[in-house]
Amino acid sequence: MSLKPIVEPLSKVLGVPVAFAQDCIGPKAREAVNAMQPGDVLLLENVRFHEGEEKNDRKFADALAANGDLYVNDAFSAAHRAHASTEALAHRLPAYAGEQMRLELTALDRALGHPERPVLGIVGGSKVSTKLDLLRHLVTKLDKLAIGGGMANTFLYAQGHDVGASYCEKDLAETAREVIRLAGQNNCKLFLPLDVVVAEKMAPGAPARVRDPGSIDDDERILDAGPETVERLCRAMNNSKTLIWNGPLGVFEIPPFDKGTMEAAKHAAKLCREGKLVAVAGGGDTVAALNAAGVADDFTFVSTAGGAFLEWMEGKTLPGVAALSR
Amino acid sequence: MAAFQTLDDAGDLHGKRALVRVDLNVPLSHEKGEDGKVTDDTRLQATKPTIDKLRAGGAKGSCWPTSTGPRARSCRR
Repeated sequence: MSLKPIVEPLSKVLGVPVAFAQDCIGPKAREAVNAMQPGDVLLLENVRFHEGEEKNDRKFADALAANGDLYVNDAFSAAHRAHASTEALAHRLPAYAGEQMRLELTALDRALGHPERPVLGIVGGSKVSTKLDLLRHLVTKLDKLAIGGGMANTFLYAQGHDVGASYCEKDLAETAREVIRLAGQNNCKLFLPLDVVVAEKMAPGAPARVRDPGSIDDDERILDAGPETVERLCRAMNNSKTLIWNGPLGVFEIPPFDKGTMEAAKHAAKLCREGKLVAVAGGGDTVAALNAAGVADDFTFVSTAGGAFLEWMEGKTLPGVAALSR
Repeated sequence: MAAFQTLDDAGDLHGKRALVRVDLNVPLSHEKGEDGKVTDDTRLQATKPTIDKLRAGGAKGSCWPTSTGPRARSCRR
């Protein structure tokens, strides 16, 4: 997609005229850059229009570098990909982290790199399968980890509970048991649901009941964390200095199954406002849930980076960050 | 955290050509017969501190972003 429609809005936000070049390399880019005066801003066309970008191609990176004296990476959200504009270019020009990148890296370091302890994690969302690396890594780093959302059903099932008609990845039961074992070996206290909210239908306003994990009927589906579970989670927040959160506790898009996520989010926000907790959250669903609770601004940091945030939480080296390291 | 350099370490920026990789993957509304309108400018706002800093130092700031379309990649996984 062309970036041309972004020129006007960007100019408005920055409060300066923004010029536009129809190509990010070659004569069009060169002419536009040569015409610039100190303080000018130019938007170059989408790098993804060139095949060399995603291939991390050296010649393409050379062509980009031809129009610069220094390189600034301000896109943490793209740092998990080794592309020409995030990786190869950093080796061709003096390379710096931009202000947004600095903010993001500093916040993530406070949450997981060098956190104030005890540090509590919340991992929710529906699938264990997409968050295996995350769970395995987090239990080695955190003091406490609460598991919520649909993935908690798989853990309950792995512990021998009948989960009725709930979403559940039954083939991952052994994996869930491995995560439970790993947590024990690493002295990470694991919180699985004490109680759950169930309904026969996942629909707005559907009649909901609170159940113990051991007493779920065949036609019932787990759609949210129960009140005791949320209360214990809030107590765990009270006793922690740092919180890192990825994934909602229930089907927060469909009331009343938003209750667990909303209450936990509001409690974390309150502790942040009181200066008692450093809370960092990330991932698309999580950001949407915090916005729905109206508390995103209260959190210490909310990352909109999606994939890069997740890979960073998994303990992986992000090529775009590694390339800036000195 | 691995140490990295920021613009505070860049020295004199005056007249320097700065290539800035930004993320402008913003949602666009699609109305017939005209360019899309930006419906959430959070990511545009996020570029301001870096661009302001470069401009204050007298650099020539060229941004080149990527965008895959209206939120195509930003929220998955």
